Amino acid sequence: MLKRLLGGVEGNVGLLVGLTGLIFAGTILTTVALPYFATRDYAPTAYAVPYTPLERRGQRLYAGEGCWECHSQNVRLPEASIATVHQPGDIGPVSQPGDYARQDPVFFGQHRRGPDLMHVASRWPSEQWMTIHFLNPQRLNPGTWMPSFGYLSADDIKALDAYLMTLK
Amino acid sequence: MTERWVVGGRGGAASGAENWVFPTRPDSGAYRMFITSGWWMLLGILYGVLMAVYLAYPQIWAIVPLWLQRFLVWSKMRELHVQLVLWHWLSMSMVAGAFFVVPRLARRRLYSERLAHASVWLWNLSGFTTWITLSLGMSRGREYAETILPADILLVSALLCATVNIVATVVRRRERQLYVSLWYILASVVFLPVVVIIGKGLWLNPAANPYVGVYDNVVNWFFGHNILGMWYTPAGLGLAYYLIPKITKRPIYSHWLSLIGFWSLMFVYPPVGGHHSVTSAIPYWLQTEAITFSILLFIPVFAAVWNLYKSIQPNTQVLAQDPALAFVTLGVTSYLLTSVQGSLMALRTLNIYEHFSQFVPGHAMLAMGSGFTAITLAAGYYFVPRTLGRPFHSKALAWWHFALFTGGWILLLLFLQTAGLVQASAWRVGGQDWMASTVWPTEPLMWPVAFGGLLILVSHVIFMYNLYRTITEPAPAVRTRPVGRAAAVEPAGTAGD
Repeated sequence: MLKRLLGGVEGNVGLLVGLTGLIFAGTILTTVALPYFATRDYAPTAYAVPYTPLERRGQRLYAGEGCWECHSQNVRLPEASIATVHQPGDIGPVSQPGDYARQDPVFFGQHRRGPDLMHVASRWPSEQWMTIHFLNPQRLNPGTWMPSFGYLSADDIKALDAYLMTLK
Repeated sequence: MTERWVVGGRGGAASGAENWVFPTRPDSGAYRMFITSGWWMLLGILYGVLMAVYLAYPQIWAIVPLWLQRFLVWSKMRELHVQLVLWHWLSMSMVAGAFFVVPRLARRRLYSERLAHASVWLWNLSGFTTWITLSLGMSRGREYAETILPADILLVSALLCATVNIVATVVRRRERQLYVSLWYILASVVFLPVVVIIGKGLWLNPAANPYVGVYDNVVNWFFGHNILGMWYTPAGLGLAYYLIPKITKRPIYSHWLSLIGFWSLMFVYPPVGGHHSVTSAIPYWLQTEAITFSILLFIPVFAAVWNLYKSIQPNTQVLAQDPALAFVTLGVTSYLLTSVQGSLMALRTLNIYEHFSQFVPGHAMLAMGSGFTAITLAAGYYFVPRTLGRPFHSKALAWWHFALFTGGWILLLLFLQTAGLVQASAWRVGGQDWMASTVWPTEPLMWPVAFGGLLILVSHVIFMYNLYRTITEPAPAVRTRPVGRAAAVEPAGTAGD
C-alpha cells in the first residue's frame, strides 16, 4: 500500500515536490515558527546590557574580525563547577536565555580554541590588560593560539575593550 | 588559447559564431561549472593548510607582515575556508554533477544551457564577492551564514537559475519514471533557497541580521544544519545513486531501500539543527526534538549506505579499475562514519563532553571533505571525459590523486579528532589552566593535521593538472569528423589559466 503510494509519486514531479515540501513545512513549523513564540518573551537579565555606541562598534568588530570563531559565549548547564580558565568554576554562572536578550547576532559559538568569554569582564576587569593581550598575547601566554591584533587601529582596540567589558 | 578552443568547438552542426559568455553546446554549463569550482577548492584547501600550520606553530604570526595580517588572521581564514569549500567548491561541483545527470535521466537536453552559464557566472561572482568581503572583515558573525548581502544575492540568484533549469528539465522529461537521483536532486535544489532565505532572514531585513537573542541561534542552526540535510546530503546521494550503477553497469540493489532512504531522510533530517546547542540556553524541548531526530537519522543513513554498498558488491573488482568508483565508495564510507558520529554526538551525555573541542570540526570535515567532496570528484572523473569525448589524460595520476587524497584525510582526521578528545578530557577533569588543558597538549598534534592537509592540497593540484592536460590534449574526433558530443569541445577559457 505504502509502496504503491510512493511508487505513484515517482512519476509525478508535482506530487514529489509537494509531499517533500509538506514534510519540510512541518520542520519549519516545529523548529522555526514555534521556537519564535517560545523564545520571544524572555526578560533581559542583568547580564543583558544595552550598548553604548563605542560598545556597539566593538561588538561589530567582534563579529567582523571573527573573534566568535574561537571564543564561545555559552556557559552550559553541567559545566559551571568544572569548566576552567584558570581555576575551577571561574567560567562564571550558567547562561540563561535572558542573558542574550539584547544580542544580535548571538555569539553562542561552536568552538573553544580560546576560553569562553561570557563572563570575561569578571575574570579580567581591566581594559588595560585587554589591550596588552590584544597587542601581544604571546607575552602573556607563550604558545597561545590568540593572534596579535596589532593590525587594528588604536580606536578599534578601544572599542573591542569596551565591548568585552560588557561581558560581566 | 581561448581562440583555439572556439575554433575547435565550431566543427559540429552549430555553425556560426558561438557566444563565448553563454555557449549553448550540451553539457558546456556542467563542464564549466565543474572546472571553475576546482579553483575554489584549491583556494579553500590552501586556507585550510595555513590554518593548520598556524595551530601547530602560532609563533609564525610574528613573521607575517602587518599589512597581510588583516587578511590572514586565523578567524578570517576559517570563515573563508568554510565558505569557499562549502558554497563554491562543493555546491558548484554538485550543481555541475546535477547539470550532467539530470538531462540523462530525463532523456532530454538541459532546459537552457544559457541559464546554466548564467548560474556559472553568478556563482563565481559570488565567490569573489565572498572572498573580498570576508577578507575585509564584513561578516554577519553567524556561523556558516557569514556572508553579507551582495554575496548572498549573487549566491541565491545563481542557485535559483540552477533550480529553475533543473526543475524545468525534469518537468519536460521524456522518461516518465523519476529515478532515485532525481528525487534527491529535485528536493535539494527546490528547498535550499528556502533554507537560505529563512536562515538569513533575507525577507525580513536583507541588510542586517533580523533575529535577536537565543532565537538567532535557533534560526542560525536551522540554516547551518539544513544546508547539510537539504543540500549536500541529498545532492551528494543523488550523484552516488547515479554513478554507482553507471560505473558498475548493474542496477541499484533495492528500489524499496531507495524509497525508505529518501523519504525517511526528508522526514528525519531537517529538524536536527538544535543539536548544535545542546545543554545551552535554547528551549529544552527543541534540544530534545533535535536529539531524537538525530538518532532517527540512523534509518536513512543505513538504508542509503546499505543500498549503495550492495550495489557495488557484485562488481567489487571495478573498485581497482576505475578511480571514479573508488572515490564514490570513499565518499559513501565517510558519509556512513560521519553520520554515526553525528547521531551519537547529539546525545546530551556525549555532547557535553565533546562539544566545543576540535572533534567537531573533524566531524564536519569527515562529512564535507572526505565524504561529499569524494563523491563530486567521482562525478568529475565520470562526466568530464564524457563531455569532451575522450578519456582522462592519465589514469595513473588519477590513482595518485585518490591515494594522496585518502591518505591525507585519514591522517588529518585521526589527529584532529584525537586533539579534540584530548581537549575534551582535559576540560572534563577541570582545574587546569587553559593553556595547559587546551593549547599546549594539542599543538604538536596539529603538525600531522597540517601534513594531511598538504597531501590533500598536492592531490588536488595533481587532479587539476590531469584535468588541464585532458582539456588541452588535441581531440582527434574534432579534426577528422565531428560526431555527436565529440564536437562539443568547450572553449575553456577558465580551464587554461
